[in-house]
Amino acid sequence: MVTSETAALVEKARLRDPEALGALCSSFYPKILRYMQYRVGQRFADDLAAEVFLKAIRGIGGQTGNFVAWLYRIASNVVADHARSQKMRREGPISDALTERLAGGADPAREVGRALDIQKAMGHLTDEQREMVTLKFIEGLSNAELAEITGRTADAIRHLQFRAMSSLRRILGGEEK
Amino acid sequence: MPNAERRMPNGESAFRTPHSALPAADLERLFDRCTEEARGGRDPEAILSEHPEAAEEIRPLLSLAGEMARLPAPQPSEASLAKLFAHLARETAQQELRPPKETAQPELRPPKETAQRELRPPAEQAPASPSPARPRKRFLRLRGLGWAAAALFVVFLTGWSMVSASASALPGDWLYPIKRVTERATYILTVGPDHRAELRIRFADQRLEEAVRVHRQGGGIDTRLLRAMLGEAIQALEAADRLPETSRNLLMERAACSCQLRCRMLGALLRKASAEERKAIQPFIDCCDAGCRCVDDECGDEPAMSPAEAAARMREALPRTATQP
Repeated sequence: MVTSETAALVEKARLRDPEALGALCSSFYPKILRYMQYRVGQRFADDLAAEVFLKAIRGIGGQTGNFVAWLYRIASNVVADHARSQKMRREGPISDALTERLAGGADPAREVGRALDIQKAMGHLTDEQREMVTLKFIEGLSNAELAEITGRTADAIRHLQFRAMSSLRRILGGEEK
Repeated sequence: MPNAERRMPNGESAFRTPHSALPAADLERLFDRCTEEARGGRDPEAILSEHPEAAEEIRPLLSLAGEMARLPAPQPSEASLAKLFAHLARETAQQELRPPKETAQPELRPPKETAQRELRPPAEQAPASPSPARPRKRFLRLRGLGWAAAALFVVFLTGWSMVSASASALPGDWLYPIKRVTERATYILTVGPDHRAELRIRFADQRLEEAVRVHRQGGGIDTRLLRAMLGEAIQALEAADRLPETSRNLLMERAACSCQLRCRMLGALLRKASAEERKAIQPFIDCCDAGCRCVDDECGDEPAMSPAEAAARMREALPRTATQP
């Protein structure tokens, strides 16, 4: 996940090189924004994603190890803080923006419908399951990165992802009936 | 809603699905293996064929995982980009006021745990929203964030390599907006007015280089790039005026060198240009010359000016219209 180019960039960013910091923001902001949209919904995603980058920029001098896992761990902590402060209401799917964006797609009705179904179903998962599903199946992170982000063992990750996907399938199956 | 997690004393999951004869732990491993195979571009059916008793259970999950990987990416909005830039600007402004701070790794903590909050470094406890109004207002005033949002969406789809590749992009290239977003973020994240002013000089050089390459590739004279070049150079001078004397002198030397180089490059461009293109270039050369005379005290008869006076002189000479020849 961390390419040699990214690693070189992170190295410079640790020395507070603004160009490297700027490039990291350009590169990772959309991913963190998407993560936030799936975790907390559209309403809070912008602010929380920006907060992740603030914390990353403040802490990058002391960053070690896998940068991507480190960044998502900050994001995960930001979500946890947000959940405490908001008692995280299950916001509706990320929806409107998505619907608009997909309007020009090849088969917009089908794509939008399915995507919204999945997002709605994700709203019924536990917070841990939603985090796992977002990181593993939407963001495409590896189990090793997940272990680093969540502090779970490989067995626990396999268990949680299987249960999460089974639940999701069950929920989607129920909606389809 | 999902069931609560049940585990055997040995740590294995006691969960057993109604369809499968396999214990849950084996199913979990199998699903994980198939997922990895699919990510590697291989056919997970090969693995499933070794475990026909679990195929019925695993296959729909794999299909769902595939669907999720293909879920459309939400596009970063102009508002979200403005928020990001505002947050970064505020952070940079605060950094200018405090010494650099090394913070530890973000701690691992379960989402529901509250006690550890007090253990976090003060920097992490800072509230997200209260903020001085100025930087936010400044960036909310920015126009044209739409293209930047679109550019970030492109990065979203394509990853870091595109940011890297955008460094040599020219106007009209689909990577060019990414280059400009990165430049803007770099500027915002640059600490110190002297470094920011220096960055503006670099951006000016960058715009000229782009204009020359566009011309070389047969794209004519892009006066918007030349105006942008002079705009950055003028802003660098304005920023220099607010610097302490030593930094100001250093920056003025750099500005003078850069200005002379720009004049030479524009002169070279003029020689290769058509008659119509020359008409478009000449006002920019005049403006650049005016700048050179002002910033370089060894050049010209006039005494050296302050950076602000030099900037004002260049603004007066800046071509008013930006017509494409």
